[in-house]
Amino acid sequence: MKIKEGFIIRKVAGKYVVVATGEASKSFHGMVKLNETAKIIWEGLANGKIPDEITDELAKLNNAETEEDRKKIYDDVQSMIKEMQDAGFLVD
Amino acid sequence: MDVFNVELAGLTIEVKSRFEYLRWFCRDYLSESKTPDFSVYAEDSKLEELREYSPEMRDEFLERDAVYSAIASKLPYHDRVALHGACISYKGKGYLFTAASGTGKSTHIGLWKRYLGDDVGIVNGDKPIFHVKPDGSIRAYDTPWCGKEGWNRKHSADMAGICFVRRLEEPSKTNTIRPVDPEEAISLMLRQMFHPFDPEATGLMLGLFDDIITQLPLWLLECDISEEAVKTSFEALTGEKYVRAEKETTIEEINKQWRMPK
Repeated sequence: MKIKEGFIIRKVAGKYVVVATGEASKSFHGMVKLNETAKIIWEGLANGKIPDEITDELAKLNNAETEEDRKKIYDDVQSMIKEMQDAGFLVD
Repeated sequence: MDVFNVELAGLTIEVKSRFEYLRWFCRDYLSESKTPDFSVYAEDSKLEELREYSPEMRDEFLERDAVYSAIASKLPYHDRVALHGACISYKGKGYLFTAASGTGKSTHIGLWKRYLGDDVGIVNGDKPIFHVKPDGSIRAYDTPWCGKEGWNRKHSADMAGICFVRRLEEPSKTNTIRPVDPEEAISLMLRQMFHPFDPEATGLMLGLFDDIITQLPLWLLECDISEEAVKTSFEALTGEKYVRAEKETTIEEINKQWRMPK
């Protein structure tokens, strides 16, 4: 699972903004604003990480120690991936 | 193939064109300078893309729009961006009114001219260029691409504010204006910025967009078509008290002063 080629992410006015360029801009005209967590998930996927690895990174950043905390983060990662899939940002 | 240089937003650009029309279109911008900052050409693929969008448009107009797109795509490499909006000057300071097409930007700047007279000048009514200068100030420049009104003059101005325009849905409501923070401006303005095709130029554009929205005062105006609408935006943007000019400027006079001479 990877992010389609052509999406770029930049910090604008303190927010992370994603826009499409090149071929990707022909099917996606809008813009996505991401918070800090969503940006880490996005960049994790962009760098070819799997959900477990992204969850580990977020768990570490948020000092999540219990299995319950980790599960919650994992669910957040999965739900964002689902949203990205539905929006057509991902390729298998 | 015709080849000529134009001077635009302080840059020299070499233009290669198929149709005589393009040189005529750029007639006020022709430059003798021999060393262009960059060169542009309307790619066949871009012409085809534009033709799909406007099948009835004549080839020379498609080329004109494709060349705009080619220039706008390269501007971010020179600290400049192309954007969509109506840009005027008041006492030499620049103000941009921006919104989706059909919202009433031109109508609103026309009202400024009508009621405020000689202190109001046109920079460009549709597609100005902004230059983010090394000292952080932002200068707005005219371009020959100026929308259906044809409002454009060879005139640039240091920017002093951006106003997002919304039409009042219910005529009974009053005109209002409020400041906008940069984060809110992302949604209000990003789609009015020209987005280059290639990722590197788009990244640079987003950096310049960040400079623009974090450095200029930003406003959201909800307005109808009235003198009250002018008073509302004028007082917020300029910080001056609204005083109507002694004589109203008619639409014929506005077109005479603002429309590019043929």
